[in-house]
Amino acid sequence: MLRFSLFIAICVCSVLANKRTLVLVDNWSIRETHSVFFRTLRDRGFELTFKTADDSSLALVKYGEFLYDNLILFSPSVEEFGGSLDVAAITNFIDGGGNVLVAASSDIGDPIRELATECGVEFDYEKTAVIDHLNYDIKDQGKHTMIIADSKNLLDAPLIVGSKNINPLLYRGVGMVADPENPLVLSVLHASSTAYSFSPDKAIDDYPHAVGKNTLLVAALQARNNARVVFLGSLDFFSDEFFTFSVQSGMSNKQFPKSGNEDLALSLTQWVFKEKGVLRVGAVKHNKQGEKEPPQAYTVFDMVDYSIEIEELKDGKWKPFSGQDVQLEFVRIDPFVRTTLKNSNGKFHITFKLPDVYGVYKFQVDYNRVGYTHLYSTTQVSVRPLQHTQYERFIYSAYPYYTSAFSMMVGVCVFSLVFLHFKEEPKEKKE
Amino acid sequence: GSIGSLTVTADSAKHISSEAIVLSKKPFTSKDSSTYELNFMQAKPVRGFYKIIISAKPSKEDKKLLGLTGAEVEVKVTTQVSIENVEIGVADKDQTTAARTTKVQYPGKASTVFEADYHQKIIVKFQLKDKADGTKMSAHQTFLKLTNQKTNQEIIFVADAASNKFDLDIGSSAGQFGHLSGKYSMELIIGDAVIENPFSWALGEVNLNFPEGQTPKDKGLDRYAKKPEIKHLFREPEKRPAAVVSTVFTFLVLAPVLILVLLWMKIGVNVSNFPMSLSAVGFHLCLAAIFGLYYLYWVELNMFQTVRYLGLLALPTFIFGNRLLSGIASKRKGEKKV
Repeated sequence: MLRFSLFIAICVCSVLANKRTLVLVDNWSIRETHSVFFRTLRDRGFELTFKTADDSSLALVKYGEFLYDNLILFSPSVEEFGGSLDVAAITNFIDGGGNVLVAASSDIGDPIRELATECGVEFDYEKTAVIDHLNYDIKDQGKHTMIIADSKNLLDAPLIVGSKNINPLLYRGVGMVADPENPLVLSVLHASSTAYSFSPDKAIDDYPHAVGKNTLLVAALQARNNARVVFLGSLDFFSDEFFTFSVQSGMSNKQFPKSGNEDLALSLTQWVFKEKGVLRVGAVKHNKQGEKEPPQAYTVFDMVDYSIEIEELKDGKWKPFSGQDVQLEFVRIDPFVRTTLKNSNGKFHITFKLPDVYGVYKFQVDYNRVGYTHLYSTTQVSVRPLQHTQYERFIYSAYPYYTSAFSMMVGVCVFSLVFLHFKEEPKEKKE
Repeated sequence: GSIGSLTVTADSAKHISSEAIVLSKKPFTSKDSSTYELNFMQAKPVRGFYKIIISAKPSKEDKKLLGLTGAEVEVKVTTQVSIENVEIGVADKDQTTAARTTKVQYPGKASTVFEADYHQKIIVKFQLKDKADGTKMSAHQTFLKLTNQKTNQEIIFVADAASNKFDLDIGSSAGQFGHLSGKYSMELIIGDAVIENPFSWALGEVNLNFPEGQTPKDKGLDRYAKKPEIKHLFREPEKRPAAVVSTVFTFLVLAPVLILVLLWMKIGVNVSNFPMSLSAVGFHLCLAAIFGLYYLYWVELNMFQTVRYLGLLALPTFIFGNRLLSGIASKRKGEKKV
């Protein structure tokens, strides 16, 4: 009985691996106003734990292990996190591989702004909003802060945003800018060219924090350890209201019965919580062409077969990866050979000739694409120079040397015979 | 339940930014049992946001009713904006006004393409008027957007709010343009919460010239793209001399052997003193075998096998050779004695 219950417990734990999620809210009403969003997460198997952001019992780590795999911050106005949580603890969580989804609003507080800056994204100050006088929704309350973002402003990355063919999106909140030099931050959704981020009640005396297409509405980051963080400036984006609202621009007559918010929210959560775009390496094999096992050391000019199995997580199951642009590098400090691997149903293979330089090399597969986790596999092999018997034996240009050597040998044999056993004729008697 | 009929009055309507009171103690008209209407626009309010404070008095005093006074409702009065006196000009950096300006009428476009250099500046002036009462007005968003026609890069500038004027110093803003010279289209974006007809108006085109040499830095390798393929270039084998040369020299090398044989024949050579002993035969055979081993090494053996066989052959060769030579030496000594 005990063993049975232990077995069940282990099964449950393994199923819930990756799904323990802590949700921090400003106030409990968010559970109701965003009920559709949370319900769909629960339906996908996520174990949600709700807490207020200033709860004094908050902790992400216990006895050196993380209590949660994912963190949802729906608490834009928090002034100070409770318990053992603070911006450093959250960045530590990301460094440990945890995924974070952050939603802000015009009431953004300092901790959220600080967290975003740590991740390479700058939110505008509190009480500012993204304003677009030419793309606001008709339900806007007067300051043109409830804006419509067209789906063509989405990033070209179906793994992160799903299909770009969705209805326009409703957004009400604060804007962000990303450092263009930061290579890890992705602008998932930017505002139109006529949008800008400023305080709606103050006249513009300063250059706005963000103008035009630089105004980011959704930003994503995949850290080097593959932890994913997504920032949205609008908590209302996820609300039940915005999911079901129709979209009609105040400036034109185009009307859409339902906003695309729910579709984008689904794709974003699938990506940020590692349900999509996750790769892993299976077996790596290498050997000389025609053989089964790898040799002790390869020799220069050998023809080598290399194969690697890559799988992608699809709908909770590992399926063969279908990419066509995975490359293999044969590196000895600098890459000597770089080829594209051929894909046969998840098994990527290639046959190539080793360079004529000996040394210690690595078979390196370094696959880095937008939306996918960073795949890195390296196998070390030695490549030795030719054995003395593997050089050309009979070189026509060397025939003078061969003949001189052998003629010398023949000469020595014959001469030794003659010299040792020569019999001088007795001298003729001189008369 | 129903509250009965009420007398609803707007106690005051205050313009939020200017604090001006537009209405005072104006009654609502009752439409039906629960809806009361007030024609706010009758007072011809100026554009902006208003706070209307409403109070209601029931026909019968009822102590149970709360919230009868001081209810606040926010109202926005919008208006249409018209843009006039738009002038675009190019001036030198130190001047304050342009020598020549082009007037453009909304929604038209400037007919000529402007030319601006890095030591010049572009000046755009305009005036916004409220269409309702013709007064001058300002807008929250007065931006000038320049779009590079080739790269589609957008650079946005903010107008001076007080004077509604853009003063674009080309030289100092070169960095924002990425030092990319070329044709840019200019658009004026006017928008405000109270403007009913915000617009993004294409004013004209300008050709910007940045100093040469400041080439935009290479974007660098896109880390998410496929890297270029590398094929290893194998070292070319050394060139060998023509076959003829080798053949000629091979025969040349064989010439001394021929000469040896010929000369020996001339002086008369014999091996009559061959001792016919084991050592003699053995020695010469072993010597020949060693040279034969060298030939085999050249043809098919490797170093290790050769050295092993050589080791085997070395011993008998030495023993036979030693015995042969000592035999010959003693024979010679014997002959001399006699």
